Amino acid sequence: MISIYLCEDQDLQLEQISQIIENHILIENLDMSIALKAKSPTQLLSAIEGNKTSNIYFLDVDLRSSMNGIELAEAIRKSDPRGFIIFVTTHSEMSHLTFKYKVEALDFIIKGDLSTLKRQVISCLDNITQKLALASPELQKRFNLRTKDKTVNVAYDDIYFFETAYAAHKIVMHCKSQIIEFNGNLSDIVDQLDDYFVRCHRSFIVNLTYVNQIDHTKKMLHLKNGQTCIASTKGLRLLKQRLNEIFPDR
Amino acid sequence: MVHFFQLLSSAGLLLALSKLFLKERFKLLLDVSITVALTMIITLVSYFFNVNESSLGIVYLVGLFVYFYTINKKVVINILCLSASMIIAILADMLSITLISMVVGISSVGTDKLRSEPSAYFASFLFMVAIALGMALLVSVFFSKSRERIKLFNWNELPTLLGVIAVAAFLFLYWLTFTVVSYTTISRAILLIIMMVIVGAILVASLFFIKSKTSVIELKSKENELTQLKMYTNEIESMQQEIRKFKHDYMNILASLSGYIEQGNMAGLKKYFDEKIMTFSVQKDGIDKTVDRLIYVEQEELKGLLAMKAIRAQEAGVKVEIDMVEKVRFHMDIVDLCRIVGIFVDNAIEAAALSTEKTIAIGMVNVAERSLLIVTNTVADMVPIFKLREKGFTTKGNSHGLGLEIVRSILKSYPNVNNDMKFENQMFTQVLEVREAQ
Repeated sequence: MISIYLCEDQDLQLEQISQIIENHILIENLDMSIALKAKSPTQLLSAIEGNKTSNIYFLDVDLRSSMNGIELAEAIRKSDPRGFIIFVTTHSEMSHLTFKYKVEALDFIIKGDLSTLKRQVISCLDNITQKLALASPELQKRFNLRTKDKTVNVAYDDIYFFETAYAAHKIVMHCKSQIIEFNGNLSDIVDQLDDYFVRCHRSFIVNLTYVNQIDHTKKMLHLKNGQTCIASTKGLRLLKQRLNEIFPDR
Repeated sequence: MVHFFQLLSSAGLLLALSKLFLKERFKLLLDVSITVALTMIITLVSYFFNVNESSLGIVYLVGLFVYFYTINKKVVINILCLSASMIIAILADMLSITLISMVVGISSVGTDKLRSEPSAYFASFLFMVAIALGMALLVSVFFSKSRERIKLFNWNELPTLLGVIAVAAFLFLYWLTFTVVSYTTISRAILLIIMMVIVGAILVASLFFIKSKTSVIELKSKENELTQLKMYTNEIESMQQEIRKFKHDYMNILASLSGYIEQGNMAGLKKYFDEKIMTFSVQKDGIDKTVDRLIYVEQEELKGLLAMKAIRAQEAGVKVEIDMVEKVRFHMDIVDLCRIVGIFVDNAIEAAALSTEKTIAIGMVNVAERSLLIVTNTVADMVPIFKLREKGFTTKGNSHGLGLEIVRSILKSYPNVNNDMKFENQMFTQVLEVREAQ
């Protein structure tokens, strides 16, 4: 059971949203329930104090209080780093980059007439249901890095390779549709990953799934997306050994 | 025994001098054991094969080179430092022997003869160490001052050749002193002077060379500064032009209003006001709102840049959203920061202009000990993301595509900055993530 917390200073809005949520839970038979309809940030914060679970939060941005919705979300993140935060806002207060990058909000809802509000709330709840299903342990083949500096969470299948880049201790992760940089060292990362990832060179870890061709003379790996990795003699040996283990018939 | 001691001391001196030049830390146990091991090898070889030990000096050089290479993995600088320390050690050795021989009154100088006088030999040894250390300190001071500049040397050029020739000439003379020339004090002293002259000439020549190089580099950096200043003034000028244009528009509008008023055409005035002035002020409002949020930008230069880019985007028909809710400061050199942000925003505007949505958003937030700058834009087509990091890749004409390469080269010197990029839902996002420097 996942708890849903609402924070909204206007009674009407609060009622509308909670009604939509409750109806949707009933219709879809979701494993969720509204735990609190707070009218002030302090009320919400004291309710989740000492709480170790991951919850869902619908927060109004303009709370007409000493704290706005974004600051409230920051405070929530301290006790619930993985919870789902959804902002409820008017068009003029829209701040989607701040929502996303400052407090890793899942989404935002723009206040409007009841039908658009309903559509948005339901799409958020569906999104959460989907995310929770993906997070189940048997499907959790994801690279997860959470340091005080950075949070990275990418499915193994989306990663082509890692390389140590142009500056010391900087790792560049090449993925299907993104490039992510973070600080760390490859030895730690290769230990964390599954067998499909091979340290083919001192400064490369490649995902075997995407190796298309091995150029032995130039010691290069050509990937399916058109990128290339460098390999060392030792790395190539390891790579072949791993390929034989994973695809014994080939 | 004295012989062994002599070899040991010269090996130790060589190692100490090289380490001094390389600015490597002394590791007592390791250093001593390596010196002793190398000396043992030489002594044994010269004992069993009857080879002149001075020609076995090469064993020291190779051994020490291997030792240093395992420590710092550098080739050129190791060879240079080893040769320099060898030259100094040899010079010091000869100087001390010559002088002590003169003092003691041995007319024909020779190490063998000196060895038979332990006290004289010991004195010459101490003297040698003192001279060598003195010279090494002098040279290292000289080089440490130009250490930064030396990095800019192109070692493939003339100085390498000159250096090799000089070292070869020096070694030849050294060999001469031991073999061809009869051991008289005078001839040795003359040779010694020639050698000193050569060494001095090398030093002076390299000093001049470095100086000329530095002046070229200084000139280049000044030119760079100048172009940057020019760019900055250009930007300011175009901002001023913007304001002038706005003033001009405003005056035109007021003038046209007065026309309606003079005619008493209230219906026309109302129509004109609703159609032209209201839309104009709405447009203007759009800019103001985005610029309003820029009050949170603490760095004035960045604020100016973003305000100007916002205006430029609106001219290109691209909608700009500035998204900030708190004060943000980036711990980077302001010129580097502005260059990077300028490139990101220019790219975003150009790409957005080709898309149907034509929207860019610029956001700045603080998260824990980091400040993030996010630039997103709508795109017409998605390209494989890695292509964006390839040299000279561009979706536009030939003159473009350098921007992101410039970003890469700037970020090389910022270990506290990460640059992520991604495509998501027909949007391209650049994130500049600056950690507060420790």
